[in-house]
Amino acid sequence: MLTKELVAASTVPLVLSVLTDGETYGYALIQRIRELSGGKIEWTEGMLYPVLHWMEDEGLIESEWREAETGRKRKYYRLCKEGRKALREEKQKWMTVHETLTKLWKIQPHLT
Amino acid sequence: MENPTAFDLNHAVQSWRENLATSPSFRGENLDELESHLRDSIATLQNRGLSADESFLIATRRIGADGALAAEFGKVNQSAVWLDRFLWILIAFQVWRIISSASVFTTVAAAALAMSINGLLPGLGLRQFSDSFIQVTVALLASPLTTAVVLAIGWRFCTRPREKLRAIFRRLLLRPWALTLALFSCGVLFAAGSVWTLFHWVYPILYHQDLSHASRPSLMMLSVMPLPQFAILALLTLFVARRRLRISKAS
Repeated sequence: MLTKELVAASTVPLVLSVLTDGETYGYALIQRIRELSGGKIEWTEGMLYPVLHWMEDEGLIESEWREAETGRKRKYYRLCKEGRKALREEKQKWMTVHETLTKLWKIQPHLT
Repeated sequence: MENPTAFDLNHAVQSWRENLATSPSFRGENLDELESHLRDSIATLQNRGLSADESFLIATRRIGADGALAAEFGKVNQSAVWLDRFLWILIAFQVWRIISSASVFTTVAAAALAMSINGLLPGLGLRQFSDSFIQVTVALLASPLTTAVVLAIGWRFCTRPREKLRAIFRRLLLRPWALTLALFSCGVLFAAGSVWTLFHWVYPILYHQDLSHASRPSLMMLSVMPLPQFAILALLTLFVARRRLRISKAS
């Protein structure tokens, strides 16, 4: 399990990265992360929404209420231009950490 | 025959939502989104073969505890949280003023009781207390005791979820005009009543001073004097309560 701090720090880049595949809603976003991480990244689901709203206030993403195929309304989120820029920066930061740790641990990419 | 204990999923989701709505941290739209999430989560669990009540329990646990959710949403809806706090300060201040006005009535009642008991003491072969002792004791104890009793009763009736008084109070919070008018009229009535009582009963009983004839203009003045203050408090309460309601319903 990841620590609370690591989960908090990785939420924004994870959300931005999922949204590069196209728009989605909160529940589906959480399922996607759970699936990709093999269940290792577990969010307290409701906590994602304040982050999404903060990201929307910052202009990284935008949202729209639409009727889903079930007939119920859902709020869909999609990436904005600012969000793509933020994702590029996030990518750089996380790659720096990743590369440094990889060198330190001398992990061969094909062994992982 | 229908099983009376059958789990009503819609009712459960509705009361879960209503429970969240008691916190100022959530806007109407936030609750819509959380409810939509909860229903998606329940549907997925039901598709896996879980019963409605099991799915509801697991889905609510996954979405997070009410308090933790309120704390996180409060961080992005800070203006609503502060507006709510400000409204409670305004309400508390006005209620406190009503209680302190009301304590004049209890002071009179306590004084009348103490003096009549004091009058009976010689008949029982006991020494009477001096008037000044009774004046000081009553003046010192009546007001804090009244406040304590009213607060205890208020606490008892407002903190239990199913109490009627709590329900009335919650309905009042959703009706800013009614809330403002209730606080304003109670405040004015109790303030005027306390001035009248002070002149007609407190001074004559406690201090043996008859002020009822000589001071009619003073009585009027004292009753009218706090009116502008009450009016300002009422306007402020109305403004804050309406704004708070608008934010909480915002979509």
